[in-house]
Amino acid sequence: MQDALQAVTAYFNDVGAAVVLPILITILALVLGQKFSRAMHSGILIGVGFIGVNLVIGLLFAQVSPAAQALAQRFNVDLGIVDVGWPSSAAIAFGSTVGALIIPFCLALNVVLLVVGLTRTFNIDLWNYWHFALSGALVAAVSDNLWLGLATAGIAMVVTLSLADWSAPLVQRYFSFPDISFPHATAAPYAVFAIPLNWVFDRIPGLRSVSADPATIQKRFGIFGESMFLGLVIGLVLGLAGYGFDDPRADSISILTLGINVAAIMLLLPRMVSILMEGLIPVSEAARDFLARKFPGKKFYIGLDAALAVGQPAVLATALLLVPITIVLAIALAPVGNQVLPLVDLATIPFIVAIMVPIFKGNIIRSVIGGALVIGGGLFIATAISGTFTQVATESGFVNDQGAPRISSLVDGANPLTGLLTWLGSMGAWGVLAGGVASIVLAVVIARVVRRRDAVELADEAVATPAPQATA
Amino acid sequence: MCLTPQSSSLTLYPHTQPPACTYVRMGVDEGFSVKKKVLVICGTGVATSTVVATKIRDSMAQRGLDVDVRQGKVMDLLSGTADADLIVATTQIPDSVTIPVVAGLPFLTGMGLPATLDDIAARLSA
Repeated sequence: MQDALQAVTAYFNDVGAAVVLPILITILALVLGQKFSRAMHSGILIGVGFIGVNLVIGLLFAQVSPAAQALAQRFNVDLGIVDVGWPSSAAIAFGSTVGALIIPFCLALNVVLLVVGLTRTFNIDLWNYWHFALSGALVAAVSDNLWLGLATAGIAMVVTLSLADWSAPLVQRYFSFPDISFPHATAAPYAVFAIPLNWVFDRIPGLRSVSADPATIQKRFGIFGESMFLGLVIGLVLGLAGYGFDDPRADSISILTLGINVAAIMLLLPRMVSILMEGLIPVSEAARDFLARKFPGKKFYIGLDAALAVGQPAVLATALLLVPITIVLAIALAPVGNQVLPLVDLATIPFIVAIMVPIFKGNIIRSVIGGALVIGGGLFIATAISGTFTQVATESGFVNDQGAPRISSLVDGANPLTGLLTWLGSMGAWGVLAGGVASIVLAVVIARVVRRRDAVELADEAVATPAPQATA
Repeated sequence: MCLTPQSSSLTLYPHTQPPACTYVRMGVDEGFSVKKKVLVICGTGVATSTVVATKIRDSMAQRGLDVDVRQGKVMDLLSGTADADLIVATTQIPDSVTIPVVAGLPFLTGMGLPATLDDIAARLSA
């Protein structure tokens, strides 16, 4: 029996995520009440998305790694950890064993938390469950224990939901999205840093009154927002720095080839992930309808992707300014230990600042300083966990063992929550248990804060409208 | 020039004989009507816009409207001009964009979705 089970597990491991996930997603969609044809269609789409991401990551390694190695040799700057970005991170996370279980597990956990009143966010953004899966997969890898990994994914979800509940008024007022919160593991954790930073900024004389106009910044720095163009420029500069120009013919060929390939990677990687995403839509719709049937009339926040906030002018302007700053930071911090070469996730910086900007009340100068501080610190986190990150990517079938470069990501490898959870996981069961207890304490405290906030709001409304009218 | 689907030969060559390849395209376009273009915009050009784009495609196909739905990210709108008849956005769009914009939030929450789809269909068939 034991042998048979082991044989089955080994078989699934060998056949790989691109085959296993389509089967799992088809089954999940069927269980949630989708028709067979639609369920299978989405399952296969997910497999196709996986293959697509895999192809582009292969291109990324083939092109960028030699340049990074050449750069290390010429200038003694080791930026050998390639930032493969959130599109790859998502695929890697869903391709792990924790990732295979993440959707049913986190949906069930979310329902339990809603029922017991420890959250009021229903996270219908199933796609972004990959963030929880990534933390879980990292811990499963460092502890060599699937259950600790799954528990960590749960902890990541509890913390993110709590932070989403807590920051919901910011989202609802600043971005004018009624009844919505952002349980997005990239955006939410940074609220914890922005609040003390804002307090400090208030006490620095010069900073109190400085501001900048988002429209001007968007016009001047708009070019940093176009991933394809950004990729071309970074590729050319990296090529020039890495290969030099000693042999004009050979070096120009290498440099130009690298430029157009990095441009291709920046455009293609998100396109591939969009296929993966399309496959998940029927499942996430079925889950939403399922919960709407089970909890009719219950008031909850709808948890959505922080992508909704990206277009806000101050968020956009801050992120644009942070693109060149991040590159400079990565190089400047290389002598003191950063090894991450920022690349694909330069396009994802808006998510890091999405919740920070409203806390800084849209002040771009403050947001840029705050963003630079968390990104600078994040580079060290990303460097520290890159070994485990690469291991997970290898197990998910995205990197092969032989001579593979180390990889990480600016968005999720550099994330303080991911870093903290991975560190706890490296201490084994007691570390994870401590994280679990802490997350529940956080959830209880925030649930209390939210209830108090509701009471205040209710009182305010009663004062403002003495004769309440029924609203449509 | 006449290979790019978005350029209508009618506007490019108003007074001259259309190039030889035009009649092939006219067959595709069913006479002179040009496919309406919808640009779906979100923060990444991937995450939420895929949800919106998929639903618009399905719904418009069911209504018999032949539309071209594409995805993009809000940052792409900063430097260039968008080529579309209608934008559906899940995030805020820069003021400089002059194309009509429909808010895409109902696609994500499910609330008010039928009305939004009707609105989009009405704007595209006008």
